[in-house]
Amino acid sequence: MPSHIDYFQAGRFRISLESNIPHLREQARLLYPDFQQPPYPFSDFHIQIKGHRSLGSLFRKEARFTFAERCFFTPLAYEHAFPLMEWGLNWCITNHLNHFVIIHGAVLAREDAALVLPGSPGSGKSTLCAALCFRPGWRLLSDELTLYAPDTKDIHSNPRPIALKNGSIDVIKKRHPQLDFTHPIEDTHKGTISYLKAPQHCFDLLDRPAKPSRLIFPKFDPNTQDCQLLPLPKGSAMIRLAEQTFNYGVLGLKAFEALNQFVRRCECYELTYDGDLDTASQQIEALMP
Amino acid sequence: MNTLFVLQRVLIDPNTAVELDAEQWDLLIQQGYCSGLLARIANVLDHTSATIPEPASIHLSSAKQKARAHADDVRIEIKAICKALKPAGITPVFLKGAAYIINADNAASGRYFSDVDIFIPKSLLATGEQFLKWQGWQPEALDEYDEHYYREWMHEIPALIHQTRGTALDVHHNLLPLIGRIRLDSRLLKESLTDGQLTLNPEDRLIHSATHLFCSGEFDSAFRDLSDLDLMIREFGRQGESFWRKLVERTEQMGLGRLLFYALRYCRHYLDSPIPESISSRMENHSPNRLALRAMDWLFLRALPPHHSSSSPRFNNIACTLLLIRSHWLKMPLSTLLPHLFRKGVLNPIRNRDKTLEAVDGV
Repeated sequence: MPSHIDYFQAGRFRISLESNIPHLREQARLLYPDFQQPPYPFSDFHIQIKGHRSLGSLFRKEARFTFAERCFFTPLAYEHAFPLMEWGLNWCITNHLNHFVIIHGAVLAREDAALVLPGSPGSGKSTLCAALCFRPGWRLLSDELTLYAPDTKDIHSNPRPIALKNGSIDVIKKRHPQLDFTHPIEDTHKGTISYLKAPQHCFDLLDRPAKPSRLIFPKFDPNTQDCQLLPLPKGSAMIRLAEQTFNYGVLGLKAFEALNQFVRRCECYELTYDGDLDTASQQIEALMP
Repeated sequence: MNTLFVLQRVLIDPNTAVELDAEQWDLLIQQGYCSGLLARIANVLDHTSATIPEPASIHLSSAKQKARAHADDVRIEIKAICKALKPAGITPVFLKGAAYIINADNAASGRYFSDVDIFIPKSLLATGEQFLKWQGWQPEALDEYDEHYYREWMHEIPALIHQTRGTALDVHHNLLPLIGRIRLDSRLLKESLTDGQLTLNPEDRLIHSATHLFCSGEFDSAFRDLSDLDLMIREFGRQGESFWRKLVERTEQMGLGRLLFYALRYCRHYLDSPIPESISSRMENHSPNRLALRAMDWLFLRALPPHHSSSSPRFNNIACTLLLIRSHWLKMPLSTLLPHLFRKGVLNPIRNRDKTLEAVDGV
């Protein structure tokens, strides 16, 4: 397969992707609007994802991610090229950009009031985020990386495909069968993943930032009885937010001060939900300004 | 190569950045990422009148911030290591990046760190290791073969990882492998140090850096290392003849003339490093024969520049593979090397292939 270079906007960032993997380009075309742009004079990240066979893989075909033509990770299975690109891009952003405080969390907004849902994998933030962003009045800024600019106190929009995992794939598919999903990608180290295209209006509102307003730490627990939304003291919220901040160590005091301000502007809660997305969404909406 | 690539041009003369167009900025940032020199470029550009276009400046200032944070972390490590070894009466000698930071060398500029390296004389090694363990540095679990490899053959013990900070520490008891083809009497190092001295002398720092790069089998960061050498040559060389005399005498005393010859040759080739004519001609004595030199040129001119299609000549993969073999050749005798290569090159990749690197998973 010959290599192609495609230029596209992944959220806020201009990407040049060189690849010889047809299914990767197909999935990217489905999930990123305007996938094939004319060449950018300047791209934020030049990435390469190539199909490749090596002795180490016993000549089984693998997908190899390189950034600026340099390899930072072990290759993954050939079929996992798209998740590899998504993880690779997240790695590019969180490791190389420090003009934002970058929080591991989904972020949505109503008008300009942002709801931030930080959380470790498995907390159900992507599922909740997918449920909320198709309800009227909401827009998705990001399902994975909250980009907070400390100087302007803005959260910047960075819409990319929503990664749904395992059980949540069918839950969201049932609610919105008409949407663009990739076919389930199986046996990744996070289980089965299906990517969902973000709603079109989110891309149109790329340049409209939002202000921190509600901070909710979600926790998915199938054994819990109904949906609990409890206030969280700001001190605890601050510490938990710091733990979810990728470049906290690099930014040091600057990040501490930024998160401090961030938390002061937010009402903070902890949400435990049993998977009932309607109840959780309604409870969250009742909290929004 | 006849034409200079953009990263090289900016390092030699930062003022040429004034003339860059958008696409050249794009290439400069790519070459910076590829070589690990982005933060150093950012520092260099601070002293020019170049207007950096906004998308590029975000990458440059972010890289600078990261390098600053790394340097702060290394300073904390340096203090902690000294403190851990003090009760044992051991003064560690910091090597490479940490040494550049302690001496505020120009070579510390914009450097990222993955570990800290120290030297402890072999007679104090067991005690030092024990005291470091008590303060939280623990070796990673290694199989018996790897333990043996490090302890009996190499110049360093297996990396220690601090249990709470997660930082890595390499403890060396020599600068070169014990069973290698080029050996170094580590007493020479110790003798040159005064009590309480935390780093090698400038000439030894340069020699160590050259030794490291030109015995290496790993060329991903080679251009960064070459730039370190260039910065040392420029900074220490300003002391004039006394430095150069010490450098050459010391190199010859250690028997490392060939490696310094390469270092000076390629620094001048790529980065226009100012080397006095008298020194160059004296170092000619350490050159390999003409044929061998042509072969080494072919290899190093492919392996040293950043491994990016815009800066690296063709066949750089082949050159790197050959140099990897050379590095093993230098490291150990053939009777040890062949079984070692089989184990590392064939057995381990097959055993490890199902291990997925969690690091991919930024999130």
